[in-house]
Amino acid sequence: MKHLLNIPTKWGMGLLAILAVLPGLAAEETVKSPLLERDVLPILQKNCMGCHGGLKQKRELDLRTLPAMLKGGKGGPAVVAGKPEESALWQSIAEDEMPKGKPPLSKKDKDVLKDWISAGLPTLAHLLKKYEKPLLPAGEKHEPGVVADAVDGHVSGQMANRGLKAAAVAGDAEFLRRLYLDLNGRVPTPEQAAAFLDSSEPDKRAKLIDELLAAPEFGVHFGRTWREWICPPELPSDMNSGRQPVQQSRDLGKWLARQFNENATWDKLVRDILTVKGEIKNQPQLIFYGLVGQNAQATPSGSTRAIGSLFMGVQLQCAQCHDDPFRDWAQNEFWGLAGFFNSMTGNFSKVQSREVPGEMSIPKSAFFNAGTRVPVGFLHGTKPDAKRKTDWRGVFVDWLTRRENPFFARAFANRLWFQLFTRGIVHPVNDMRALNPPTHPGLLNLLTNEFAASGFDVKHLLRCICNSQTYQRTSRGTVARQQELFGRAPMRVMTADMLLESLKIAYGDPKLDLRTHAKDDGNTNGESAAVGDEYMEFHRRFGTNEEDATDFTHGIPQMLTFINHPRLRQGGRFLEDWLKKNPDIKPETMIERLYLGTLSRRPGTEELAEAVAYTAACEEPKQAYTDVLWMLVNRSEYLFVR
Amino acid sequence: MNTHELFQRRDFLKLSAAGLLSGVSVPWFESMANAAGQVQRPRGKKCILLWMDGGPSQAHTFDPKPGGEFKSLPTTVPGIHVTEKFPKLAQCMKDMAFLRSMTTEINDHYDAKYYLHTGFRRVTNLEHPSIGSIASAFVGLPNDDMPAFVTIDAGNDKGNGGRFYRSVPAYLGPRHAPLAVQHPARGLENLKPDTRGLDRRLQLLGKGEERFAREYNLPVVNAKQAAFQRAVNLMHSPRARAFNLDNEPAAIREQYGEHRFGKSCLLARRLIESGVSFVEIFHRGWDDHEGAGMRIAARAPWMDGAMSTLILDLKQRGMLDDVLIVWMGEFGRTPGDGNGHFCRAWTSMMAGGGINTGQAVGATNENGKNPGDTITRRPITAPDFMATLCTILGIDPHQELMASGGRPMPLVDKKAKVVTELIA
Amino acid sequence: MKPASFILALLLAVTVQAETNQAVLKHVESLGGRVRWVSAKQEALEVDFQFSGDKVTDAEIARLPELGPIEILRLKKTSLTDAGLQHVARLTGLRRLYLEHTAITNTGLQLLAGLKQLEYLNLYQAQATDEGLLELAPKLPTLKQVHFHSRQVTAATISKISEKLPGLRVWPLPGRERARVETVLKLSETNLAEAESVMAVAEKDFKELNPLVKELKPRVDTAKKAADATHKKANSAGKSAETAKRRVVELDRKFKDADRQARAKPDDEGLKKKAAELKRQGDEARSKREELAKKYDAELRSNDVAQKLKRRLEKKFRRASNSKKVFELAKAELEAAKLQAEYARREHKALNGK
Repeated sequence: MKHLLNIPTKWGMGLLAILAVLPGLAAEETVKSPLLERDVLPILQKNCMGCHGGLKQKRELDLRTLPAMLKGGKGGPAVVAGKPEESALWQSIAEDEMPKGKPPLSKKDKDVLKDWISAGLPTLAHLLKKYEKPLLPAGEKHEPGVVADAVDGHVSGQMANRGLKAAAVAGDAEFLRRLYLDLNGRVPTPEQAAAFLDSSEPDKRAKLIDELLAAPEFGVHFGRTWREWICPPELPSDMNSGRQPVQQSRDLGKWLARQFNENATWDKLVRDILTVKGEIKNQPQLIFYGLVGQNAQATPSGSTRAIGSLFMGVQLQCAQCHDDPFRDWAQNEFWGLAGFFNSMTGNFSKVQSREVPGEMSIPKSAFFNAGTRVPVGFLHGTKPDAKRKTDWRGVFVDWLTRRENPFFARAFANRLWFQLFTRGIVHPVNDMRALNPPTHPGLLNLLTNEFAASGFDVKHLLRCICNSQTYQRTSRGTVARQQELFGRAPMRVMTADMLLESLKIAYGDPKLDLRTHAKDDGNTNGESAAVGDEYMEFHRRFGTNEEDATDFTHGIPQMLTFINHPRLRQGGRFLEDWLKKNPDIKPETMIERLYLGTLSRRPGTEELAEAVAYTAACEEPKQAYTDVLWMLVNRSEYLFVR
Repeated sequence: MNTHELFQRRDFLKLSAAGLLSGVSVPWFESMANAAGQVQRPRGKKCILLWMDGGPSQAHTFDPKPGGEFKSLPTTVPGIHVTEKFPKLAQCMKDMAFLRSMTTEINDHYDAKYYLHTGFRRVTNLEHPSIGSIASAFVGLPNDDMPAFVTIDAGNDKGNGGRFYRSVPAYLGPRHAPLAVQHPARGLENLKPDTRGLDRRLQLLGKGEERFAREYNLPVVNAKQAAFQRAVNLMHSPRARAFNLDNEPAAIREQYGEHRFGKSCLLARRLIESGVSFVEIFHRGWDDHEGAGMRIAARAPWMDGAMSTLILDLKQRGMLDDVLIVWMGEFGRTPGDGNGHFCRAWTSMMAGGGINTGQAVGATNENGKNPGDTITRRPITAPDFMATLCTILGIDPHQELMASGGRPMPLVDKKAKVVTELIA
Repeated sequence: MKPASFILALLLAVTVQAETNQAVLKHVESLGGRVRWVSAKQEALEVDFQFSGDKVTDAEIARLPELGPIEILRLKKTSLTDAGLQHVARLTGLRRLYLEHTAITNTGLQLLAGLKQLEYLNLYQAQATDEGLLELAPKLPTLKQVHFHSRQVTAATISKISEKLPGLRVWPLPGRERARVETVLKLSETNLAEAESVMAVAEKDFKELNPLVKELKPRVDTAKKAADATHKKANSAGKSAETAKRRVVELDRKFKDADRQARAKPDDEGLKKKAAELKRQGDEARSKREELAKKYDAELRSNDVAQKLKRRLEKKFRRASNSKKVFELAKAELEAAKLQAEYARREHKALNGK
């Protein structure tokens, strides 16, 4: 999700991801007949929607949704359940009358369409309907344990329906490392790891969750994560040739960290960002509009896309230039929404209100309808009843943060789920729409309701999820569907931030710098410089696929860094300190400590024996332990959140 | 038959779904279907990009004008002249082609560097893949010991020239990021292993890795172990010796020259020979605001020597047809003294690559108050240039790739026209 | 054959083919070889064994022809012997063959007579010599370039080859290179001479003028001040002259009026007097004006002199203070030109030494 905003980002293959959900899922439904979302829409999108979709509706026919198909166009209903011969769609396809000007459909595609109509127009959404009801009543806040049980109920229900069993609950070490990385963005220190593993308190997991939610690193980690979702740190900045001011963007992360640590409710946090006004001094969140704008300036369209993606979970970018052919909103709706952000001007350091009549003229940069004036309005057509001259943003935020707003709580709950499970309940997380149904509709409703009822309490929602068995399951196992349905924890690649913070712990060096360059290679202030500061360089080198954390994207340079970088071959200061303090330390003790500081667990019998044998064969103990440390950070297990 | 690793690592289902949904043609998909019975390896040419960072003066290099600071010098191709400072290259003219009508709209260093590396204007929230990463994705050998794309820093003549552009793979994925050589004489960073107990360490590591792979037989784990293996292979590969210039005979090193640029050219040849598909050499400091004359007079000899040696060396090795050499900066300089940035009419050079060499494509005016400030024939825009480069390397510039959100991204701007004069 | 079975057979053939070349490909790569298509358009494979070393023996390459249309084959530093060339000879589409640092002899070379597409042959540091080439080359109609080490060739044989096959380029081939090297040498010498003359000027400037910078500075300042003063003076003189001129015009106009009135009323003595007075005043003003105009001219002239001096001194100062930088640049230029010439000379010498 390096870019939830407009287009992509890095290796964005978001669309592929959605499609990957459907076939897998539906296959488990053992539905043999074609399904609308899985089988039919791809054919229609490729062949038909160019003329009969959001962009054009030739002969008044719109094929984007089932109701629209049933309504049909001038040629009568496009589809009639169970009756291909009465369906205009089938007739024109069967005769190769359609698609016009394109090669006719293949026999296979034709069969799909015909079978689908004959089978009575089955949809995946319909199949999933029975899972829509959440297990807890809406409108009231519940105890985390209760919610956690309901989460498990939804997940195991879905598993059972497919004849699958969830994976076992993870052992303490697996849980410990995962929770630290998820909530505090780093592995535990050896002491923290040992303390937890050795504790025999029955509720130590719940306690650790509370403890980590209260730690300052919680806010730091979530602040960085959201900062990166707003704007990745390695994009062009004043440090590497762009205009984005690095320091101020980092201050945004720090501001977010404070909000998360103080547990500012999500609606308040979003309101503080979106209604900000004045100078950047004392309000670092002001940079938001500049970061999501164009050429260092806030733009209504940039703000709209970013807000749609980050806070509403929808992709609006297509509608900027034309009616979205695949989603049910029009270009007018995009610009109606953009109208709210037309009542301000801003850049990286300043945001000012300006007087506008509550409408927006579609700019020239849009392909269609440039110059058309559109009144401000919310998505799906509702209009604000306010009458004001300046700054409509407050009106928008009032609408957005109402508890019953269909986007706000849902988008956050879904994104939080994505963060912990690598896949949203709706996936991708910024593409919620009728034709991209959730895998677990009831679960999403449950989390949405709970979040809204708690007054958008972020820590509460996290506490609910982390206390569930679902979160605490092992990642061991190979059945892909088990993981797709959240019955097993995913194996994830650590993000650059997690990796950097964890390496600092492994090496006992809070200033760990992995840049490799000589003095004459350039300076760091941007002038002819090939290198940024150590944080930016680390991000550049170890950035991951944030749309899919299970995708391993590192290559030779990353691996060579791990294998041969002089800093990682030097060992840690704590190694020296420890050896100095405990000159007669037993190899077993030292090795155990190294395991705890890297893999957050104690070595297994075989592992211990191997490492002891290794150190015994070395002349110099410090070198031997440094080698063991090198081995541990080079382990696959180290790079992953398992 | 681009066995395009980007898509290779996605499974077939996802790939076909992308093709269906996007509604655009997916050429690699179709060609894969046609390719039954053929060896599945990438096809296309290799490339060495000589990037003169800061913008070299065309009037002081390859587009001499009457009355210019440098005299013009006939080459081995009648009718084509270079400036007097390039006697050796003048003798290689039959293997070179000038593009004298580059016209690229951007006079700002960084934006122009971005534009000429990607073919797209820079925008805020999206990065486009650079040509090296594109070549890595489409022409590079997947899973080779050697990286597909390497950049070499040939040093710094002068401290200005604006901020430095670094090639990014953008949506092509981080595997297509360049491997950066900071100094040609130092080779690849982190390549040289700390040999203290390396084999024993790897052995110790291997035992744990084996157990882990048995316990977690997941694609992500296999991918990590494969990448690690590739890095170790590279460390041990005889091909990696290419990074070390000491392995080259002294006579050849001398021909390339002792200058860091010459060493970079030699390293580039060694890398290309051992399997790298795209090498970008950048030499910084061509932003000659105080007059290009004396500056280029001092630079020309090492550039002349290294480039002509590179061309002749590749030719002697029978590789010149398979390797395209490109010489360029982000723009040219004002006609006359070369003081200012000048994007309206400037020159780039291509050599080898099996293109139609021995010609100058396009021309600038000879007469008038400012000779050389106007294009008189065949303007070439940045997208045109990029489309031409892709086509020569064997990459279809008109294909569309998928960026996130299902938005198809053309590899090169759709309006781009290939410079057909260059293509055999 | 029925269409269906024909298609089936075709499919089968394709599948079999695919399986074979998959196996060969696997084998090639297991030996450390690399395979790629050299161009998007042509069906031409490159097989590269140059990093395989002694893993590649005669037997290992026996199945290469099954891989596909190989046009480029690199066998540098492999353990290939003459016996292995029989397999190479089956690659009839071969355009480039690399046999450098191998044990290939003149006898083995003759096995390649069937490679009618061969354009390039590299025998650098192989056991073969130009004698073998002399025998082989006439049978290869498309051969354009052959590579040897200088130890593998003699002037006599090479000249026989070039007599027989003028289109064939054999490296090292002194005759071919001579024209290029001589031109380069001549041009490099010219560049060097020019750099030297630039250097001479720069050096002279640096030596003579640079020490004057300190001394020139006050002189420039004085000249600047003087020029400013004369400029001011000239300006004010110009203004006075202008005022005087305006007064003359004004008085002339008044006199004309008075004179007209006096003529209209010839009896009025008062008017006559007034006109006469005005005429007197006008004449006086005119002579003043001439005087001022002359003064203005003089001021202009002295300003001119002062400005010229200022400009000259400024130019000299600039040249003097830049002389160090220019000298450095000229040094760099000369160094570079020297190096260029030196390389050209060495190349020339190496060529003529043979």
